Amino acid sequence: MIEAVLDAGPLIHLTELNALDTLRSFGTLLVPDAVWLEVEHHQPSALRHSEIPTQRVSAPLPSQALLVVGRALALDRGEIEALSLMDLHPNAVLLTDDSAARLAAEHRAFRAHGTIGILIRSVREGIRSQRDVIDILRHMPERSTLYIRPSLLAEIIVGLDNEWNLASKK
Amino acid sequence: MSEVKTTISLPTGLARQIQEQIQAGWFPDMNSLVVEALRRYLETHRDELMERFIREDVEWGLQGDD
Repeated sequence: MIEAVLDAGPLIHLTELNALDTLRSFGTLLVPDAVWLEVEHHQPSALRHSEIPTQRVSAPLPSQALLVVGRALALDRGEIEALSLMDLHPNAVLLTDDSAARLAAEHRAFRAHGTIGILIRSVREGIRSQRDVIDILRHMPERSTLYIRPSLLAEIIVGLDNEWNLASKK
Repeated sequence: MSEVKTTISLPTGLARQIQEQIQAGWFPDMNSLVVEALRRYLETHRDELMERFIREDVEWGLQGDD
């Protein structure tokens, strides 16, 4: 099972979408202190899900190179701690919905994905059905604070519908 | 956040252009220019980046091997 380091975004957005269970297929979910505190403040129920193996951890002090990138990209403390934790777990995947944090992860050659990827992956992992995920995506604008341009979201839904219909015909 | 130092490698031509900008007084030093360039890049490309990352997420969700 793949290990993941969590930023606040996916924990908050998946809770809003009632889809926190989609994180079940990750082996260990490492949540740095600053992210834990942020989520505890904004969406405390995200940390109390019995099926999700979140593990609160102290991140190491960030490297100088990370501090420079963090300053340039205006990363917040949680994002810096998450990236710093990735330095210790370079084979893990960083789960974040922040484009600046993803840019920093890319700069440091880390894998990073967000809420949309986690939801779609849950079909591959047998956690959610294709129909479930399409429904979640359809209702995302009114249920979640994660903003996706409406035309892009519509394009993704149509693409998934086609992909999964084609797959079921094979 | 306190000041930190790091080293970056630049193509010669780009480094020369940066020095010209600094000498012309547009930036006090190379550090300020690089930090400002990264900030501006993110400001002007945030939507574009977000869209690219979301498309990568779809691909990973469908075809990833992890």
